[in-house]
Amino acid sequence: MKNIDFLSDADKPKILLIGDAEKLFSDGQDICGLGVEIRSNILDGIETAGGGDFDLIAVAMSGSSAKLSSAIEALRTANSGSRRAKIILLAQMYQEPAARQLVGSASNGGMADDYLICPTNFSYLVSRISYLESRATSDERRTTEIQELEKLATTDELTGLKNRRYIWEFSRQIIEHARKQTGRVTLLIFDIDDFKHYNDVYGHSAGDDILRQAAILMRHCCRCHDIVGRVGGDEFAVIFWDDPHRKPADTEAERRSAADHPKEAIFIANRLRKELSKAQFPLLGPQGRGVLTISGGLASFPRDGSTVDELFDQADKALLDAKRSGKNRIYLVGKPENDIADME
Amino acid sequence: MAKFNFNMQMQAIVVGNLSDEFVRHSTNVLGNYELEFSVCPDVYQAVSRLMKTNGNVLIVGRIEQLSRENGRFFHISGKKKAWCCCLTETNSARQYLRSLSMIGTNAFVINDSAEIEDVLARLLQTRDTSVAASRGKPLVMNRDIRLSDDEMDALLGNEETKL
Repeated sequence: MKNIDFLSDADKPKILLIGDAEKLFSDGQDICGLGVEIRSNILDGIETAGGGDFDLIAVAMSGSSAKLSSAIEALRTANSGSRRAKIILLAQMYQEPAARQLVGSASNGGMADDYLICPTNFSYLVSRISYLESRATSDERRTTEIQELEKLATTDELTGLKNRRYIWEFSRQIIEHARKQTGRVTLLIFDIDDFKHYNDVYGHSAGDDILRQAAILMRHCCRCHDIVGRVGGDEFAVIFWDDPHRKPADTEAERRSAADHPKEAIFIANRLRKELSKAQFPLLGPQGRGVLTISGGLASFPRDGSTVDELFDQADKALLDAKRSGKNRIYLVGKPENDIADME
Repeated sequence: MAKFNFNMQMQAIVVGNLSDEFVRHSTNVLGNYELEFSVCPDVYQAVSRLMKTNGNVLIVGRIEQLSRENGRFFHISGKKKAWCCCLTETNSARQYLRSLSMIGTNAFVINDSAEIEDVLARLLQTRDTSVAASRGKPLVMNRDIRLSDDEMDALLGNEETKL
């Protein structure tokens, strides 16, 4: 917590944190002693905001957007002291679209100033105060620099897809969420068949072009809330998860069906394989259409694994099975007839 | 109709949406008693509003609304020494008991929106602002099943008394 430890008490920003510090911050256990007020319940947070003059109010996201926007508005009204507190939402990765929406409406008044994806460092949260101030004072250069750095940390430079680190952490968070909500998560891992051959014969720029075009096609084939990433040289991953606007499973039948491979994931994976095999790759020359194939493995939570490691292991095994069986196919884990081309 | 006439001016916060019949009825009754009131759409706004008051507040709302966030609202309103008037329309005894145990002190429990007048009349009659708070348990206003203290203790599971 170096960046605020050296400040005198008078200079330390006054922070109200609403949520579980240890879950939100990788250095959460060190927050004690920094004068941060912590409340676990949003109503207690609003009460505390009403009695203090805070520089920053950090709110862990939970519940619907409607609830959150009302709670933020209440925090603003309660904390109408001499300083206007900055409100930062602390979101899990799968809550990012909702967080972006709540921050996006800040210009209409009343909503949050910014959001951070958790877990993060508490010192980073503190540093956001100066970032928000630079934004408020129209320091565009600094704002853009920070935004660029954040993008670099989670994006694969070549394809523009999410990077391995992001995919891994997102999988961990969404599995935790699905465990609580009896939801489902399906992981697809695939690579481009004989990619080394294209690289060796047509050169690395052709290889890069294949990866870039494959990425565009993948993004196009998936639903907008699915997460697509590049996790290795020519290895990609897609995380299929429940529509965030869909309500949690209520009935036993729904819970049972959640344990099976979601049909949507199979449908999308098949579409991806077909589209890719039809696509034109100009750098491969006149024979560049219809030559590219992929092999992949699909594993689903909770059926095939209950942790990120287990799910990736299982999907990897299915991918290897698909390769051994002659490539150009996507296999499900543990099905006797497990080529998904036969399952739609 | 008699005027509500506390020594210290009382405010009311009605929690809920104006499209709710109970909220509309409550605001009408409060208006008839010439009480200053505001309407908050949910408990979040209500806590914010409550923090701007100096006590002597009556909060009116449905139990489903007031008990959100694990009933934390009752704890906060209790600290501000505000009274709650909760409408519970459930026919399930189990749910009813659950509501009562959540509400805690400083509260009137009504089963029909018309009973809000009984709450105000009672406050007016006694002019004793600690009428509910001093009891240490919610006051059930149901005209059909008004409970004695012993009955209430038994319902809420206090061991010394039996129903």
